[in-house]
Amino acid sequence: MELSKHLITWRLLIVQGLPQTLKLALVSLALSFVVGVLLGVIRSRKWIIINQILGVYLGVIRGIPFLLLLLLIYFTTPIRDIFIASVVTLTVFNSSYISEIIAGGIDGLSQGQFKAGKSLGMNGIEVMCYVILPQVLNLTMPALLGQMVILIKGTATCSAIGYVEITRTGTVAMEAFGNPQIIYIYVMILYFVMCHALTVIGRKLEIKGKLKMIGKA
Amino acid sequence: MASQANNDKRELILEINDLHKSFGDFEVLKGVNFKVYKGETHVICGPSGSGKSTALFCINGLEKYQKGEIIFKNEVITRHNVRKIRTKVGIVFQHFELFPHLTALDNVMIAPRKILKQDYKVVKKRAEELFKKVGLADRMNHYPYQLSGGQKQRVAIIRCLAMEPDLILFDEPTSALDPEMIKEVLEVMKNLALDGMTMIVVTHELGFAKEVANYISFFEGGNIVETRPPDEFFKGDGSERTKLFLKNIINV
Repeated sequence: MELSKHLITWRLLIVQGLPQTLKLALVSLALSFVVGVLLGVIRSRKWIIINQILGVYLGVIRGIPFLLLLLLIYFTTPIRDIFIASVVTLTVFNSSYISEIIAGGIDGLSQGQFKAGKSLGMNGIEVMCYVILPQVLNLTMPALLGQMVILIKGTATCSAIGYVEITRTGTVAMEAFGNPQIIYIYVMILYFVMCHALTVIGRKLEIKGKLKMIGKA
Repeated sequence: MASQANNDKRELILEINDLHKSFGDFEVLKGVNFKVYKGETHVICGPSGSGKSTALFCINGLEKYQKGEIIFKNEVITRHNVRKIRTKVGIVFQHFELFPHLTALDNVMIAPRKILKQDYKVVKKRAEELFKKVGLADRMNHYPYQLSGGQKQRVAIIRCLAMEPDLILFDEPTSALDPEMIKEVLEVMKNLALDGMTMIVVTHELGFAKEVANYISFFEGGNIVETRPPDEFFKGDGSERTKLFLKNIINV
């Protein structure tokens, strides 16, 4: 493969693929985080009926492959937009895991923390926002970041319904220039850089959070 | 020390009438009656499992109860006003329960700022004065893990004081402390009592009770067996059960 083709491939990947991957990843990340935390808080409240319905929902979502969920949402719901279908799938899938991480974190805190918050006149939402969630986010940071890395990698699967992101761009370049070995290695490098950067940042945040709360990392 | 007769002219802060609570079949509180007047320090002692702490938690609604009423400053505590009352009734926990993600100063400031919506500068000034008062001016920006048990409990006490409460409940405030730290916490509590704060203290520190309390109540089997001023209480001419309790404690 000549140098110009290498350059064109990189240009395609970075100018066309990367922004689309980042757009999908960031929107889904924000949404899954919000939905996941909400579901996690609800689940930790142990309201009998809601909790059972939620348990079934989460069990179903986590019991089917991501690709199948994507196809189901794209082909069986009225959502016809590829981007929106991808965002919805990534959000539904990842928020179900995030909710368990958050619910577990909340259950792990001592009841005394809830009582202390309440005893100062806070209502349930205030106790969550000022006392419980800041601690839970600090403590579950490693698991949450792991889930975010999974989400970023999940964006590649969205090419299956035609979303053009890095992997799909790589395939286009490969169809034009041949050399799948080299092109897919380039694609791999891009994913690795994104995920590894997130892991490194996550590790830093985790250390910072732990230092603050328990004095050692 | 004021006599019972004088008390009736003073301001009644808290009144508990016929309080009952059960965990399933197990009746923890069996019709507790209790009164606290403004400025009094009321010590509750008694064996473990007798319901002392449960009764304390009922006062600010952290425990539910099945029967009876609790009246705080002429207002019956209900589900609807309990949050407002909690801003006026502080509680100090056995295990401190400071918020580990906040500095000592933020622990003290968070409720006045976020719940009472008071001005930052006003709250900060008040908090700083409180830190000075309990001898922790140099620890304000430390996180709870950087503080000793005694320091944590003093921060927990001023976290209550920052709300400017009318009543503070202490749930065995020194039980989780190393012996040499107990004194610094009791010292702070003693000064509070001398400043005229109304306090209900569940504790086994009978030395503190003797020195500071206006009344000592002996709690046993879900009810108050007797309530007397400390000098009478320690005379040991009360109920048989109190005598036994005192004998055991003094022998230890």
